Amino acid sequence: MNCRSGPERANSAAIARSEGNSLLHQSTCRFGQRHGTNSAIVRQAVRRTVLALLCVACLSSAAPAQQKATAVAPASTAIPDIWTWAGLPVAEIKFTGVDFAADNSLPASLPQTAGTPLDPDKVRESMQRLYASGLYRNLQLEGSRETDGIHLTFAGVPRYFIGTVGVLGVRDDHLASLLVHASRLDPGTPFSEPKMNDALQLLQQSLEQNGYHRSQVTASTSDGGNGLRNILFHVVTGPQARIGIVTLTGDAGMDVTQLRHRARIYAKTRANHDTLTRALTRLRSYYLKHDHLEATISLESQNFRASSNTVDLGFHSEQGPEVRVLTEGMRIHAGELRRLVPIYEESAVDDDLLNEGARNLRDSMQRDGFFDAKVSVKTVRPDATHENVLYTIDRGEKHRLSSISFTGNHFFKTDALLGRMHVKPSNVFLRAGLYSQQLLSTDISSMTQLYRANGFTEVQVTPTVEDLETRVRMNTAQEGSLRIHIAIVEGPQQHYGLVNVTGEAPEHAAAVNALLKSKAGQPFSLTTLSADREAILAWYQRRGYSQARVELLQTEENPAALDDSTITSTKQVKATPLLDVRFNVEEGQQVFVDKVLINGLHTTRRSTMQRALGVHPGDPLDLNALTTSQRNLYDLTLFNEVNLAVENPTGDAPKKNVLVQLNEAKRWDFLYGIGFEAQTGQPSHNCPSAASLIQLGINPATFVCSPDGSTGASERVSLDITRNSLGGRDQSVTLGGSYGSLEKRATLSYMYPHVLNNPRLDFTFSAGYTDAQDVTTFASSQLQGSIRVGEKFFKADTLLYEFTYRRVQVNANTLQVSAALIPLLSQPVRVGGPGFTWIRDTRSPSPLNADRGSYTSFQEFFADSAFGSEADFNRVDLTNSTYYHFGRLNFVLARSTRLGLERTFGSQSLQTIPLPERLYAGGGNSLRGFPINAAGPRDLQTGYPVGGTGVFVNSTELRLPPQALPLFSQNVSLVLFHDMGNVFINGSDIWPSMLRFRQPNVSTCSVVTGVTEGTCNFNFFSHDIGTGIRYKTPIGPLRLDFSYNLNPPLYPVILDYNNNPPNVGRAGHFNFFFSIGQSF
Amino acid sequence: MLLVMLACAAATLHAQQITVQLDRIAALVNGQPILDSDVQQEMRIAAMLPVAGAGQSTATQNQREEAMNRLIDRALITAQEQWQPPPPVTDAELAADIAELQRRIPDCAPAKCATHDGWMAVLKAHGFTESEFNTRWRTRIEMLRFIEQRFRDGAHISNEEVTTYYRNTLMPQYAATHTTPPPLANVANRIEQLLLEQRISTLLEDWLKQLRAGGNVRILAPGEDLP
Repeated sequence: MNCRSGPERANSAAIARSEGNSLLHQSTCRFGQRHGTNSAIVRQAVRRTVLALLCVACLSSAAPAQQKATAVAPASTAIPDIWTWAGLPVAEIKFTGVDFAADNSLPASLPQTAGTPLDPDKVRESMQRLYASGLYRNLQLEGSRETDGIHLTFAGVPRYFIGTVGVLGVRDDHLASLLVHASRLDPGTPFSEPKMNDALQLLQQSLEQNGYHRSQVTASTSDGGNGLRNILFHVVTGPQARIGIVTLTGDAGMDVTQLRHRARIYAKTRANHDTLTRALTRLRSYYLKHDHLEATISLESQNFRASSNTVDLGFHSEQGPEVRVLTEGMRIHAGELRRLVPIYEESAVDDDLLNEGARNLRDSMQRDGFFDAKVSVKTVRPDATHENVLYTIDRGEKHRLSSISFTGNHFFKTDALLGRMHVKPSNVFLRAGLYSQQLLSTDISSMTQLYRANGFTEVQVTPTVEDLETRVRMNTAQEGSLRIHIAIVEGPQQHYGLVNVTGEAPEHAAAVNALLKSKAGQPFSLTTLSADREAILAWYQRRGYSQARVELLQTEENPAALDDSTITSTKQVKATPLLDVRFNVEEGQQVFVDKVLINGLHTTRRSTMQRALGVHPGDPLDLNALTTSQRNLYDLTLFNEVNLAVENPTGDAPKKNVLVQLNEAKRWDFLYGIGFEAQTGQPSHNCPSAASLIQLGINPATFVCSPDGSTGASERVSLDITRNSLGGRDQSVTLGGSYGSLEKRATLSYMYPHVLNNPRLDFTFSAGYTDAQDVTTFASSQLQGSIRVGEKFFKADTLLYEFTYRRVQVNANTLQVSAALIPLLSQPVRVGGPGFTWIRDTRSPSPLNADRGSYTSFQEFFADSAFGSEADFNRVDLTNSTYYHFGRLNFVLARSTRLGLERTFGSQSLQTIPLPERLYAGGGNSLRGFPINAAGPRDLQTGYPVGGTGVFVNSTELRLPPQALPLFSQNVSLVLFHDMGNVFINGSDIWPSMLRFRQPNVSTCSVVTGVTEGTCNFNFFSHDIGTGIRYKTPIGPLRLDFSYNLNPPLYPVILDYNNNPPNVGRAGHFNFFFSIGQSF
Repeated sequence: MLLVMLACAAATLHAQQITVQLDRIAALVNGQPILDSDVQQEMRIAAMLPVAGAGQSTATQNQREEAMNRLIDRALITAQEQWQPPPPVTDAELAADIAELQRRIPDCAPAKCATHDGWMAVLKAHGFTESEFNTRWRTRIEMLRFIEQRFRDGAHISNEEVTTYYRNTLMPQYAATHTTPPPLANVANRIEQLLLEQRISTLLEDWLKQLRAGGNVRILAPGEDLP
């Protein structure tokens, strides 16, 4: 032991500690002798002194030790610290304050372990590691020296985390939710008293902002278990304040009364944040409307008056001058000016906005072909109350960008490069094309970046703009022609040299390397590199390495190794150095799920909820799985709010709890809607037969009913009432109905998704009544019940197994067929039997507006007396649609083909297929040459369509790409279509009729006199062509189609409900249809 | 005598079973703990170094406060390093820097640190092991590199500032001692370096103030708990 005195006492303490001396040795130092290196002599001297002074030393050290036997002495220079005991064996390590489960790897992962010598660095690192876990609010290291060695205790104060946060005393759900979010207490994050105090203040502020100035907020916490503190805010809102006295200062251009009126803040108005925000917005709109673009309006004071529970508001406003925007050199419509000059939108006049307006005006000119347009701006103040913004426009000569050509591009095709350019040559929709210097520069820059991202580091892209000879047009305006040529020198393409991953654990190497798509020798691609990096990162994150980092390092291989003697060809001299790529991985800590703590389940069964939960104890903590679980829980439609949070999110702990906080939805759900469709061929309702009219004593001439219907709109309203969460499960019952001119419906449905916990199986039972007239011929009513099991396998395939039972009756008073058929066809008929449907849907990007993929459906329905059916027939309906996109502008060729066949069997009495069960075609989603369901055979007396047992329809559409148009941007596109097909009495008539363009034996259709019933053959293929407009909306394209029937059928009308004499009817040539969504 | 010895031995043994606090959290800087042992280690390093102002306070409490402040500043700076990591320190660079340090440490005078054993003895005298010291010193070099990387590129001294310093500061100093000042051309580089260091020092101080103001720093007294 070395003992030193005087100013080096601090160092002597350090030395004493390093030798593991106790109080005994330090007190002995006073009698020791300074001796730098002869420790043996020093020890002898100490031994002698110790024996002589043993009792004094031991008594003096024992007394204070006995007093402090149970106390922990704070570390100081006079008491041992970790260096004092360095090197001594550690017998035991304990943890107090935070309990670690037996399977928690954190204690075992600490650098300092029991059974090894005490290493101060390792001990300190262990302290840091424990604190970094986030489980401790405070931590200290205690130790005692026992006979078997050092006993260390990591003693800490455990950290609590926020559990549930609720608000009590607020009836408005929206306000309650607002307050919870205003508290900024996120579940799973550390809990602390300062946070609680801040939250109280924030809630108070939020309540005052919402007009509750007399509110009181208190908070209580409770133990949520598992280290969680649940927080409940008790709110007494008190009455909501109203607007009090309003004052106005500044040159506002209005008085207080006018301000109140314009801002809609009256004496009884609630004084909340929304009211005040809307008030300011209205005032700004007022100023904007009156061209006071520089007006400022602000709410400078809000003073609550407790006696009257009102808030006095103090506004300050400066209306500023009236600003007019004028143009010189060209007239521009006021609306166009407002759109192009952003001072209106921003309600401010400054240089930046004025210059932006100048740029917008110039760009607008350039779009019209004035590529050399110049616009300048200045402001003039004729007097204090007016300001004029003057845009001076020099359009220059009009040009047309006739073409853009490329040379030197080998890696990228011309179409690919053209498709990426903003500059566009002239076309049908852009007469002048689209060109400006700035656009061209942007395009060249992005083209260069594209090449570089694919390894062409030395690429040069050089545009040349040629101004061709000016052509003199018919009017006075002259138009020049521009041509752009882009010369590309691609240069050599860089390739990968070595591609490897470093930093990963050996057991992960194989899996991680298998993710790489970038391979040695391949051409460089920045896209592929980025994708590889994301793939590696995603791989680690799925396995609980949420702190994983992947750094991408690229180095060029040194080409200096190539000297003259090794160069064998010119190519080698010019070779681009290979690029070595290294993905440097820092895995970080792997984190697992400890417990899944669920809160908020009251009526929903736990098993139902857990089926959607993709997080389980022991799983790697994958944040993506949390997101997926949240989505799945929302998909159950049982919860209003689903929050998944990680407890202790920033702590570096190997196991963490996952909090699942649910807010169950109301179990009753109301859904209502309104809509309409407009088209030609609208079935006329309440169109009784002539016989019925005569019997009723009504002149049939007063009724106008046509076999082809009439032009009009069919409106519809609907209401559905749903009871969710039946029995705590994701089952529901819905009572729904709709009412419209074409259909009236009431249905009761029971839905049971995920039958027997199988996510692929769904069960539905429904029963209902429908009264419909979607064919001009009749109105029918159906009483129907069905059960259906849906099975989803693979991503695109769905199978439906169904049993349907319905009673169909045609309303005799509406039946527009031969009188002799009325009694037969208006008889109620029971139809029942199994059905099967297979659907395969690979349409993308969405079924409402697909440009690739296909849709196929196969439906089979079998009605047999064995199932109680009064009509025996089998129906097959097959539809196949395909979508192809092609061309650099992404044209889409869509085709849909439908084939339907019905066949009766059984006894004669069961072979009449009820009218509603027959096959029909025609309408906006079918043969557009006909009104809805009007194609095919007709009743030979009245001329109304009667359907058939065979249907074939083929529709082909060429969907043009959307064009950039003024006002509509790129939301409008055109389609060209052709439909062909028909409905046939017999399915066997389809194929012989395929090549028949003209109606056979059409002369017989014209025989209408001297007969009670006509003769006509409808076995031919009808053709129609047309065009349509599609307007893109967030919910699908709005559709307006115009069709022209090339060969509408003739049909005899012996009995005309318009009281005309027998005549020959002919389906109309023109039809239009307006609806939403593509036609197929 | 024997009984007395036995009694004292028993008492001594009992005394040795006292649980002492070996370490604790002394401060938190943006959630990162500074341990009491960190402070003690910093005080020992300060005692070793010949840096002016470090470890010169006579009172232990002042030494402790100074050490704490240095550690807090270091923690704030380290947090910024992740955005602009300095180049790593090689073993050769570390050895060279320690060799330079050995030339300046008073305890190494006149040539005690010329041998490895001598250097080990000095380290041991201050309570360090070689690996512990090397780790601390490497971290220190990296931090200095980071500071230099951050500030040196942005700090420029103009010719006018050099001239002004020569005229307003250096010349009066020479005049006061009645000596002829050296020509400006001879001392311009040194003046520039001096001004640069002052500039960087000012920038660093301002930056540290900003970091402290924007950061969350809390010093814990012994026995004090965190909220």
